Amino acid sequence: MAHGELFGLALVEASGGRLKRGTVYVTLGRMQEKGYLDSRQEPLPPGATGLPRRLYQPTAFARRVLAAWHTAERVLLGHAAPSEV
Amino acid sequence: MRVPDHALVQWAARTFGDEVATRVISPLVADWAKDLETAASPSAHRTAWLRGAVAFARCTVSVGLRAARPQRADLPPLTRGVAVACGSLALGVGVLVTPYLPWWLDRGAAFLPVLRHVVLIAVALALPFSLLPAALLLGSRAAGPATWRARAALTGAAVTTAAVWRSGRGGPCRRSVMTSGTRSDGRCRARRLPTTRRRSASPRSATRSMERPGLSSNGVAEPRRRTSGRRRCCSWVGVSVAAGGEHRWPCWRAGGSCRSPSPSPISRLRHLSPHSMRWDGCRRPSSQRPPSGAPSDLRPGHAPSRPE
Repeated sequence: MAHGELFGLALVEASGGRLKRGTVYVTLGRMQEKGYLDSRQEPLPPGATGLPRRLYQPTAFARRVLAAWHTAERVLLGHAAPSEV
Repeated sequence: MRVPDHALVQWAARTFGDEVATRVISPLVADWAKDLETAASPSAHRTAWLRGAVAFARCTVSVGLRAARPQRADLPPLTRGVAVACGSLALGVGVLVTPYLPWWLDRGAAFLPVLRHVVLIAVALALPFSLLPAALLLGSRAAGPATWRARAALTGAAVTTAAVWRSGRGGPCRRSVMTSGTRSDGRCRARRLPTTRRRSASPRSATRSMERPGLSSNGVAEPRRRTSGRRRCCSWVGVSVAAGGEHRWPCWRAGGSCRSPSPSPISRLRHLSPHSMRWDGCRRPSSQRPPSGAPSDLRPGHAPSRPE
């Protein structure tokens, strides 16, 4: 998702089984509520009667949080590595 | 088979609110419908339909549990109403029960267990009534968030399940009016009283009764015959009838068998009640027995002699 918009079902398929179809939409809704995700509805073709699908993409705030997380992980692992050796 | 997408989203909006329906349920149903459209074969179509249905069910449960969880903004009015009502009613019940405390303590009951029973019974009696303000509060907010309705439904289901589970633990002995026939250690009294009750019997048992002396023609044991019912329950109902300056204690057998080894708190409290005869098991001291001319049913501690 870091590089573009994805549907919920595409996220499940891309995760290789780590995301479940019954819970991924709840997680996406909560991430959207916290400001990590933006979503928009897919435009329906003319004459279609079904529900529009929803596309998700990360916000700039989420990208910064992810970068900070990676930095913290690298720093912590860098401190933890000598003690393990 | 198409997915009833609009109907499902409308149902979710009614149940969980518009926000949950838009953010969670609507994308799920849309992806489900798209998955069905792209299914190539009938078997793939069936598989997609089934996977979507399972996902919808799991998502509904997850959203319902989250919606039913108490939130900080909703807690004060609910908890305040329930706590005030429950506390007031429990205090009232406790005050009503207080005069019986010395009676129980005189008969060897420890103070703390009696207090524990009183508190337990008072809260158990008060809690259902204290839910009334919460129900009124929920009803008065019909236009409020849908989480109130989900929460009320979940609470009602939990209370009903707990009540059914609790009532199912008692044996047949508990269903009698008062179960003071059980001992304090939970075992039933091994007493079988004479009874004139006759039960209908099958022809097979009637035939068997002719082969066994001591059985009546309908296959029921004679009144004076003891059976091997060591775990036979008898329910004694102590009716305090002031007559002639003394209490009369009619009691009778209520049949059934007691299977549960531990009596429930309510039945244990009944053992301690002034109108039960736990201390002597329906036998009153011989000095308090009435003259022999008294009717047998109302004789104090109606415990007839056991024919051996």
